[in-house]
Amino acid sequence: MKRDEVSELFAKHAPAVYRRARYLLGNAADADEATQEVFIRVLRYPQAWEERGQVTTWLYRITTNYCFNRIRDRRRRRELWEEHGCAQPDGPRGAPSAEDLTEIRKVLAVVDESCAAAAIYVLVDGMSHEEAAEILGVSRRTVGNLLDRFRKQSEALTAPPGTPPEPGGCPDPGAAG
Amino acid sequence: MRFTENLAGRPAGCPSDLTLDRLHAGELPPEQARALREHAGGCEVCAERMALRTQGFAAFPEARPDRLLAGILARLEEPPARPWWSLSWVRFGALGAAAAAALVLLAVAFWSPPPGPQEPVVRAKGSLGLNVFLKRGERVAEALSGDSFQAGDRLRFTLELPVAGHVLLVAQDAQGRLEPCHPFGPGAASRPAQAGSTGPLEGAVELDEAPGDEWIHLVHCPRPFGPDELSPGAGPGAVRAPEGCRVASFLLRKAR
Repeated sequence: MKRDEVSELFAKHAPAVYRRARYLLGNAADADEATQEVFIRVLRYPQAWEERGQVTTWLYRITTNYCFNRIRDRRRRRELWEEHGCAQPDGPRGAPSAEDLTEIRKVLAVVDESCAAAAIYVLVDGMSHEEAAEILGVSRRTVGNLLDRFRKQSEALTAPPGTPPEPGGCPDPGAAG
Repeated sequence: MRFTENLAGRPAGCPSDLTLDRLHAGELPPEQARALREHAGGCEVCAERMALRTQGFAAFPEARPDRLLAGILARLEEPPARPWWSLSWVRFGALGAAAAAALVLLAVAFWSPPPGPQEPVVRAKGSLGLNVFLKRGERVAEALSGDSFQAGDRLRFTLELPVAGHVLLVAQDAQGRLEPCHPFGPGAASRPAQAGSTGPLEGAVELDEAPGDEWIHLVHCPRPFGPDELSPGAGPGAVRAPEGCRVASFLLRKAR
């Protein structure tokens, strides 16, 4: 792809990638890095989205995957928990509040990828179950099931100590030991 | 905390961010686009959301789009460490009966030290990464965890390691059974690896026809280890590794 084509694609789509990464990761530095990494991946393998003709949908998938992995990485470094005490401004109208985003990041850090992706698309992006199903490549019913599992897990995480967990929560496949 | 359907609290009937982004990008059919613009004209919240998109990076004063674009262009012009797609795709034939019955793996090549620059590119943020590349027919693209795969798909892997250590790739089927897949073969055990991004691992994995979810786990430990030190964890796709090890997992959803 030529430089001017890259520049055109960047001008058209990068603000949306940055905006989502800013919401999901919570700070400008990580959103910068996410935007660069997402575009590098998308531009190195343009066949993946050129065939579909829907670069926006593909960018959502790549951005979600990248940000989810970054959130998981942070969990290990405990940045996410330290972030809790830092006041952040809310986004514009029609966007999730900073407090909600901080809370949901904590849950995203420990649930499995399918649950996390469904939660990001429906709860943060405000997609319909149908839209989330299309982008995830699953049925609408599966999206509903994934969200149910996500909610159970989030409730278990914030329940008072000693509360027995509900069955059906999301496992943590990344946990070792 | 109980999460509601939509954290943004938009009025019922308002389109999603994806829909508005596709509208802004000109990717929607004319009829749908016209209906959405009419909606935004009468909805204060959506009018603001569209204005945010029209502003582009101006809506984010802290962003430096020129610097971002320059960084992207510079990265794209870097010569790849090795044109991995030019490597041969190796088929080794069926595995043993036990493995063939359970695993996705039909063909696996052996480890060889990753090629590429002498100085590894160390990831500043220190994360463990397992990247998967899919070749279907003649098309090649990076795959995402949770993507749908089909019989005959060929996968190759690159790794991103925050520190030097010892690594092993293991496959796990829906029943939780684990099988080393890189390195592969009798006595397969972890191999030492330097910090940074590896080139593509030698050889490819070809998926068989068994449907269902399967996982590829990258296990990274500070010391040498063998597959017998790994065991299925609680729940699907979970693996237990020795203390001090880290695991990055990739979900394969195989079409029925």
